[in-house]
Amino acid sequence: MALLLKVKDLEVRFYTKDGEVQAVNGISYSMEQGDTLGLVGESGCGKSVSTMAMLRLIPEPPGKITGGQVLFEGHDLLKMKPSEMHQVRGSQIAVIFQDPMTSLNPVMTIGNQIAEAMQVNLGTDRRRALDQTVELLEHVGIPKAADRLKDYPHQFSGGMRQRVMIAMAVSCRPKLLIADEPTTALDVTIQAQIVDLVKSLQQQLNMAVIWITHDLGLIARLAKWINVMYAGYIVERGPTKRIFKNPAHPYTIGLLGSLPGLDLTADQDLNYIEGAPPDMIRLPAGCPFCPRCSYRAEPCTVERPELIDVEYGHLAACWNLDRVQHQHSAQAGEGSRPATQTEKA
Amino acid sequence: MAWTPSSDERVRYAGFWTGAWRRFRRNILAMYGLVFVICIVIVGVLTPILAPYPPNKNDLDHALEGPSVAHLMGTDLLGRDMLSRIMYGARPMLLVGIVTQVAALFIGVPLGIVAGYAGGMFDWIVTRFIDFFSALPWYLVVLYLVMLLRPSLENLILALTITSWVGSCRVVRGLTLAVREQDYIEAARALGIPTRRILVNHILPQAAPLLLWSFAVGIPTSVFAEAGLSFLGMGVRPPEPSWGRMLGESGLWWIYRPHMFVFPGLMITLSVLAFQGLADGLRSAIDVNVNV
Amino acid sequence: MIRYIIRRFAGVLAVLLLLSMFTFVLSRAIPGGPWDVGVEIPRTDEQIAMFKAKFGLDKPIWQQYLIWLRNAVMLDFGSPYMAPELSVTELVWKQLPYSALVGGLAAALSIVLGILLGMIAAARQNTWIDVLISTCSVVIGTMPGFVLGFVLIYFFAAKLRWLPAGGWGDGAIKHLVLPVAAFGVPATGGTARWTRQCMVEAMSADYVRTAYAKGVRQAGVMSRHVLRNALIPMITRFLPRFPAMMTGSIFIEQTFGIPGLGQWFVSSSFSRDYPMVLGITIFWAVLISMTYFLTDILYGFIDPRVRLIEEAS
Repeated sequence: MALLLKVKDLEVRFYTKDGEVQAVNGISYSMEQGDTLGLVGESGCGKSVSTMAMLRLIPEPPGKITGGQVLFEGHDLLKMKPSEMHQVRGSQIAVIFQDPMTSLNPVMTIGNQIAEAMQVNLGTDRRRALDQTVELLEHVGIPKAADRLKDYPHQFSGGMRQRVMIAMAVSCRPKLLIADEPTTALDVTIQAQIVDLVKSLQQQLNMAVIWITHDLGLIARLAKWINVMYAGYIVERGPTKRIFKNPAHPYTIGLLGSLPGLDLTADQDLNYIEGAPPDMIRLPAGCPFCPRCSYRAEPCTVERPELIDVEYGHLAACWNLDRVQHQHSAQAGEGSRPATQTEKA
Repeated sequence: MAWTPSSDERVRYAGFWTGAWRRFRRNILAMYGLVFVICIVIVGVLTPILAPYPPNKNDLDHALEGPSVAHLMGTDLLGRDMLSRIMYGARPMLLVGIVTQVAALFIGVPLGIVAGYAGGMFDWIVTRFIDFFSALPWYLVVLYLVMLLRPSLENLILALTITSWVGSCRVVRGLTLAVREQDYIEAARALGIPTRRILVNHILPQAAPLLLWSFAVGIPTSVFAEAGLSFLGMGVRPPEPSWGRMLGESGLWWIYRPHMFVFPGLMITLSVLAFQGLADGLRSAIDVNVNV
Repeated sequence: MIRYIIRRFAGVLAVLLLLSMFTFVLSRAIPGGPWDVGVEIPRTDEQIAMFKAKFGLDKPIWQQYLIWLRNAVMLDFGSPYMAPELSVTELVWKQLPYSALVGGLAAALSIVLGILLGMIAAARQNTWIDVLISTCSVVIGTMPGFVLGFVLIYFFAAKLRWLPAGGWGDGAIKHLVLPVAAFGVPATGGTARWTRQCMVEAMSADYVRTAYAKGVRQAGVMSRHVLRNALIPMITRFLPRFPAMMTGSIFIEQTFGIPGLGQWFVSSSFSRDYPMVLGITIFWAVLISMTYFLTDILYGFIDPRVRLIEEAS
């Protein structure tokens, strides 16, 4: 199957009065039609920025895409003219954002907002666009859709608003959907509904989906592949099952280890990763995770590791993969909390 | 083994006011305001020492002279030295500007906090008062009061205070209403902490940045009021100098003797600008989000 | 929605009532009165009593107020002591155009020019244009109108002799230019800054990002998403400028010698001309309250969030 998306060495910088923020530092990955990719990492690691960069939605200034290629169906998005980019946005690639309250125009009816997407991208006339909007709203599970066309965003609950956003995003049948933490601002019960909705839409429309999240539990169910990001780099990459079963990078290990298991008792401390998130303006030489890593060694402070094969399709960027593996399984064997919540994957 | 940051890499956190000062410093207008205000206050305080001539000394032989070595800013209609009068003119301006705002704070803040916290009838009354005092523009009320009470500096300050207290009251009340529902207030109540302590120790400190800003923002208005009303002849009583008054007194002669309006006009503009710059700088430095 | 309107209207009436009461009582509470204006020798008690009887000032205050109120409701505000042959209403009506014209035109100037400049500054945010406009707005915006008036008169009237220095003449345009400029230009500073702020806030909102992500082009984003949101706070700030500047032209009137209401207010207050003072005060209060009232209603129409909250409550 032809690649839908191929990101190569994408680099994004922000020029602020405090210095140059190295937000995204040369990431590469690819996706096929209908794939589900999870972009995982803590706040500030560059996951949102990298997808916004793809769509050229980074405010310039202060941001700037300083390198790389984003090949969507063979065409480099970063080299496109603005008029061509407009064609891509909305109709080929769509986005759902984290906070539906602020992401929807408060003074425009949701009917008009959804219809706008179709009018702008597909040239649909207003009448038909509104009709299709009703269908869309019903499809995403909003009752009495026809009546609600004239309603405004603040008249909906959080979960409903997110459904509206989803309807808006899929209205033009995009090939790729970017879901930027769409459930973070919602209740857990609603989260599940939204996730299921996106999954079923994905199947129906054969969309590829990039799930951006910091919630590992969520991604385990959803994604086929995972990119673990840290400080603007992809530090581990591969099939979800494998990463959960056999995490190779110390950061991933730390992430998985910090998930509280169901068998945690009250007197057991929660595991956490030592240290603080990196200063994106002054990244250290060598491996960016080094300051917080329990497995550090000589080469770590000197040179940054590239992604190396751990097993087929599963890569990690670390100098000490063997030692990490060894120590990690040893610890697991000793009965300190098993890092295998992955069983649910 | 885990890694701990060495001492030179430890993150340094600046306090709230330090951060505010840094942001303030970057704002040119705000810094100009600060410098200007400091200078003007020094001049105002030290005028008797600094002024070359007594401000009210008539010298009709040298009336309406342009700037010269003897009189750096020229003389006015009655031969009085402009420079000295300008220096002395700083005093009513500062007095009015600062005293009114301080007084307004003393009235507005307690009313606002109590109204916001207590709610009910008292709050309703206070809110009606606020509406009432906002119905007419301040300059009309001040004008009216000053004229009724006979123009003088004290009455001007009184009138301005009456119209200014509303601002800080509103702000504080808004904040109190917002904070009142917070859990920690409820916790304090549950612990039996007396209301007075809650208001003073828990709510008031949060209002401090807002109040500082409200204070700062009211000063340009007061300064403008003093200048304007003195211009109309309703501020300081003659022969006391005030920049607005000097503008008003220049009568018909100023067209031929521009120094008579240039200097007072300039001082008024620079002062209002300075205080305005201060207030603006303060606002962006403290990042005030006034939600009235 | 109707209930909202009625409630607001009632509020306005209440405030007006209170205001009139306040003004009424205050003016009479201060010692002295219209009878000792402009006289060298203090009047004898007899003369004072006669004066009071003539103008109904000997009755108890509350009675005086009620009489006044009854007449006021029928728009009869009595006659000024200074000119008993005219009625207050007539006089106000005659003098109104001067203030209204100068103030209204100045307000219009400040709004139009301010919006233009503010939008440019917002569109070219953080470039030198923006810095220039923003700085000028602050500097010029803080210059009091009457000070600017002096400067303008000096240059344009005295030195260049292009325009008259003041007065009204026969209402020719040239007499209006300088006062309107002196009044309107500083006000432009404020409108420009507020416009810029509203625009910038709207432009950096999340929903704008969503609109671009949807594929909407810049023109569409600006008109349908940015402007619609920015206009709301802008209108609420700008509409009240009209009555504010129409009533606040006192200083400008003094500088340029324009016989507007402001002058009358000053002289009436000095001479304790109660009916005149009350009449002018009420008139101004009505003008201002009405405008705020209208702005509120308008706000209810254009901001769907407000509309629905009121309906719900």
